[in-house]
Amino acid sequence: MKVFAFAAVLGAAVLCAAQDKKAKAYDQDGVYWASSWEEATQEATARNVPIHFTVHKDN
Amino acid sequence: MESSTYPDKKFIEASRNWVNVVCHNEGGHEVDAVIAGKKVSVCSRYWNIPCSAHQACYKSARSKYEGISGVPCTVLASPDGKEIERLAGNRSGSELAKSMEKVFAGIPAEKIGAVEWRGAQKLVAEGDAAFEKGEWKKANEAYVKVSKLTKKALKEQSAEPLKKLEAKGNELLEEAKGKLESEKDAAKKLLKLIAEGFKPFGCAKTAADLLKEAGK
Repeated sequence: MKVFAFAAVLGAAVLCAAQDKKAKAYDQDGVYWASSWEEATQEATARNVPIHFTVHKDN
Repeated sequence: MESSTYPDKKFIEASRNWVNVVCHNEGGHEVDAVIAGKKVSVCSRYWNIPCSAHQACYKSARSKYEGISGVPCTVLASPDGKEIERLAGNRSGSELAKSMEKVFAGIPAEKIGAVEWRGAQKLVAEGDAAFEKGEWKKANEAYVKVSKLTKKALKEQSAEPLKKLEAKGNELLEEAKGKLESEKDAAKKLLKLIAEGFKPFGCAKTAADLLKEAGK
């Protein structure tokens, strides 16, 4: 029982570490998604770059 | 597309020349992560934003483009939001990147890539943090770095911060002048700080001259 609990805790720790690593790497290497439409339009104007707008999963 | 297209290196590279907006109504894919020492909650599909962001975009921005019936649907728009091209259905990373590069090439005038934009913003943020702590020289160095960037839209980000810094320098100079008679040592210390930390503003030269006078 103790071994099982230890394994579960270890597994959770490994998963968290993997998520952190993925999040950190993505933060630098992934797509930069805008936090809002307003932020996006302001930034697109300031940078003079086009907007990539995508809609997914409508329920 | 979240697991195949968006992690595609060709797509990511193309996306750096765009502003990217995702409208996704479903939530519940958040995970906890630690980025730059801070605990944050991020969406495991669109890693740099929380689910609340893509859900809010869905509510506020979904109707910006008419006639979107099936999903996924991608709209490529000009900097002012005018639709240029619409791509219905799934697209691979390289397909989407190709369409994006074609549209990008048609946008006239100077454009700022995401990496250089974020770099300039980071420098301004570092300058602001130093300003808040009263680390004037450090703030000055950060803002001046931004002012020396070649692209106009990047350089412009330093205008307000430098104005704010100059105003602070003038304020401190007045404070130092007020102390010259009664607290000479404190005044000299402050004048030295201004002379070193606020170049090339006028207050730095005035402080240096006053310091020379006070030393006689």
